Amino acid sequence: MNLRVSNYFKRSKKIKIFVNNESLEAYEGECLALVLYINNIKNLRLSPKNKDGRGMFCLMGSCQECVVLIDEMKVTSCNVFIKEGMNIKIGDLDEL
Amino acid sequence: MSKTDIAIIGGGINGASTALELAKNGLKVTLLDKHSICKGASGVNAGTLTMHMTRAQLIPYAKKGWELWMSTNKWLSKDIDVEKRNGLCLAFTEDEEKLLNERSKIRKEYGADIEIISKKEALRIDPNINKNIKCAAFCAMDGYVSANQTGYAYSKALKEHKVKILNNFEVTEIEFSENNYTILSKTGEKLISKKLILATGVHLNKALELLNIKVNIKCLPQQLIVSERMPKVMDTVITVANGKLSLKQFKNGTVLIGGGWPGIGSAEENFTATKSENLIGNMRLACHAIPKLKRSRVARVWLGLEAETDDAMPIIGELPDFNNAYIIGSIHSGYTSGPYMGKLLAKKILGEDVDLSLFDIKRFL
Amino acid sequence: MNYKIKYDVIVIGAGPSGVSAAINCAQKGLQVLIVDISHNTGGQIYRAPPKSYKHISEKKLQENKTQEYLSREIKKNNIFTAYNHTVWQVSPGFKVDAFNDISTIQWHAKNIIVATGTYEKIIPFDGWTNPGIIGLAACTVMLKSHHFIPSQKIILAGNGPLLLLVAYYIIEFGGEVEAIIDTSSKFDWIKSTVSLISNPKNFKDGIKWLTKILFNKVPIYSNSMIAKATQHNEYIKVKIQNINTGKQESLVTGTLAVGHGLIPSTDITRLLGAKHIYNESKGGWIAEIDDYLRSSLDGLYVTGDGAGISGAIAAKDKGLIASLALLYDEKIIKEKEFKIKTKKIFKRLYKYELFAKAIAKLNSTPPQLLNNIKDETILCRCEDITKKDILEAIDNGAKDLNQLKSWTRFGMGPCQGRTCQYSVAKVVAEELKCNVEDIGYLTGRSPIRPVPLDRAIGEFDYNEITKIEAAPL
Repeated sequence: MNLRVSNYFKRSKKIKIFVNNESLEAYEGECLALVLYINNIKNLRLSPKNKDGRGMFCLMGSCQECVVLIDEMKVTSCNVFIKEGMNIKIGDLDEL
Repeated sequence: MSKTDIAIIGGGINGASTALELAKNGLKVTLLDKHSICKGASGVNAGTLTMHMTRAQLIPYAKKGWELWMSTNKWLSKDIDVEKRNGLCLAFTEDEEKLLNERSKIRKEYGADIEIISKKEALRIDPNINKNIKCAAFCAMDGYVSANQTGYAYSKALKEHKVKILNNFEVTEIEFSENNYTILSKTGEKLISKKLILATGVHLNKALELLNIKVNIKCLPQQLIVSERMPKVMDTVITVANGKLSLKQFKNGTVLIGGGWPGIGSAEENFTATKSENLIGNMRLACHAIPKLKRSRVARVWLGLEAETDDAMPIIGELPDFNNAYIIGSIHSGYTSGPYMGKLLAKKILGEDVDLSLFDIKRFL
Repeated sequence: MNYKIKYDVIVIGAGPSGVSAAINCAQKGLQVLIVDISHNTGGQIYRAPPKSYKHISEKKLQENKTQEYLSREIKKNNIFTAYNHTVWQVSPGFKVDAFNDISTIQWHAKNIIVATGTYEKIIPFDGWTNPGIIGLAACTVMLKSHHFIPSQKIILAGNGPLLLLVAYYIIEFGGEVEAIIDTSSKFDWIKSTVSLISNPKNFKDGIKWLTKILFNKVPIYSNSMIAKATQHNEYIKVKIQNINTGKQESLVTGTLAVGHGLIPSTDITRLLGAKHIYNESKGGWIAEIDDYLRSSLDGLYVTGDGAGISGAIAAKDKGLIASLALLYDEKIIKEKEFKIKTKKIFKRLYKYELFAKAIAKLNSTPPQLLNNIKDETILCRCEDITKKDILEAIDNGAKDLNQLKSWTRFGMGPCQGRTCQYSVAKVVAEELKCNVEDIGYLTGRSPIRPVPLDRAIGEFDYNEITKIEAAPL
């Protein structure tokens, strides 16, 4: 099933991004957190003590759960609009 | 109305340490706090246990304090994270190199085991530091405590030794007769005690006023910055020549940036605020010292209020013209030596021969 | 863009309330800057779609149309905008620090209007931290502004009108709502209709949503909550429990979206040390405000749902009230104009407040939801702090939220307690047998969003670092 709704908007061009070096196709300018989510990449990082998987939660930049690494910096993926060739690291971010 | 052998006003590191030592020696102790145990500077300071920032005259006391911190599992609690680390004090310019040499030399004269080392040697000890340093001062006696756990650890230990803790007890009046002190709270509670200790930190002047003693206590609102967890970026406790940086990475991966950069706040108002330019200055200095720090995000900034006397030396000992009344506080970098200073005062109260003349309040009267 | 440093007014938050306040101030000649983390106006309720999206036709969602209107109004009124800027600190004298993709910047303002809206209240349950489980509000943003469906099958849980709205859009966009799990009863909804009618437009919307849900035969579990959720690779197993009978049932789904109402954002007012009061039906702690939305600090105004939940339509009017108060305090409008204009708005607001009260009832947190939190359930997601950790600290003598924070690390993580403070406070109050207001609120701390150090420090030479007096030797 296509999880992108296209009744109202046309997306921009198709691009590739890299998640832990694996390529993923999506449309330029889409929200990173959502692109990952609908591609079933839901487990973005590990919690600090229990090392449990965590992922997108509030989608408004408040909860900080959807943090990933881009250019070695932690960013909330819900505030990132993807660009061609973007390199994203997910996993145990506190150790990467 | 309750009665006690000894009432300690102020549940910070000084009051709590004195209370614990007295209780261990069989005294009936009541510890009062306006809010709760170690909620002020004792719970929010950077927790640095360094000689590189200690006032020279206080080095012997800080060394004793450091040793106590390193053995908290024996006398306090296992519920507080204390880590021993090497301490490096960095000089980035020729002027700083000169200053570092001077200051280290004097601290050494007072007993600190500090030596000046070359850039190469410093980089060997911690390869993460800025490669452009001129030289560094090294001291093996360094480390840190997670200061936010202070209240928890002391509360547990004090309870174990039957110290009565009265939270939210804001003292408004102290009446004194020859044998007794009657302490009254804002909410009308009353406590009668044979002995009295004032340990109210930044509010020491206010407490003294209740006994009609006037001493000037400055309040230094100091900013602290903590990063999010990050991979290991440093292995030592880092300070700088002029004493305005303390930097370390806790076991959980967070990095604490301190150094006493002033913010906004006063002892009277229960409110503090940051000064942006000083936050950024402090952050820049930290990232200059450990360049990899730049990768992190700042998770939280907060402020603590430090007490300082006119000569920036502590006040510890008996209050003149009073029977059985004592004071402890305003110890520069007081967290390191606090447990030892408390112990000293307790010994004095218990009748041991302890020399506290360096800290006599009479110098201000 | 080259920003001026000083403004008469800085409005923080470009949702309906912030925009309305900004326009009103600008029209009276004040220099206004509006700041928002998003790339455009809209706030959360009308969040702007990504810039890269292009309309196919004139067919637009009402929410997207409203957002475009707000954006046009901002432009028309010569308001300075700082989109894509995250405010991370506001300090006394009103200095506002914000960062964007490149650096951080500081602006000074004589007045501040806080229009930072809300975030979602989600009461913890066993397994709520599993990836794949999201907020109900997150789901609305995903649907209405990003035009994504989270997965083929979705379970919606929680309470209040958001359940209906999200279900409506999922069906409208071709997804399947497997179940709606509502803590309220059908009777609660019927009771509330009397008050809900006071806002005919929203009421009509509600009927439209409900009709679609009923037409599509979506199973509705009333008086029910999520007792537990577990993650199994691509699906989530959800245990549903009737809050009265305790009867349980399990379902499997792709996405579980949960929401129990909204919490006013008080980050900035707490940071500035304004007074706060507790008002459960307004969402919990809110800045203490007078009728005209003035906070306890001079020059600091609070508007929109951040001043207490009353909904998006009321938000616009609250923006007008706050800005009129500001204009009056600045002696730009006379008392007569101030009184006449505000009186008119108050009449409208009164109706919206009735509506909001009914919504608040539907969104009230039933005690069963809190009782469902197990000892091992994580309360503070940032620091992995469980209910047990909190109870232990209370056992050892912790008496208020700030003390619990330093003893347990709850609320010390990057979200600064926004996600868990409400629930932790409820748990603590229950344990100490006191009211939530007796244990205080977390002291506001900077940064209100984590600030990247590289951007905070910028490019600098060592000798450019602020000089500061050496420590005494």
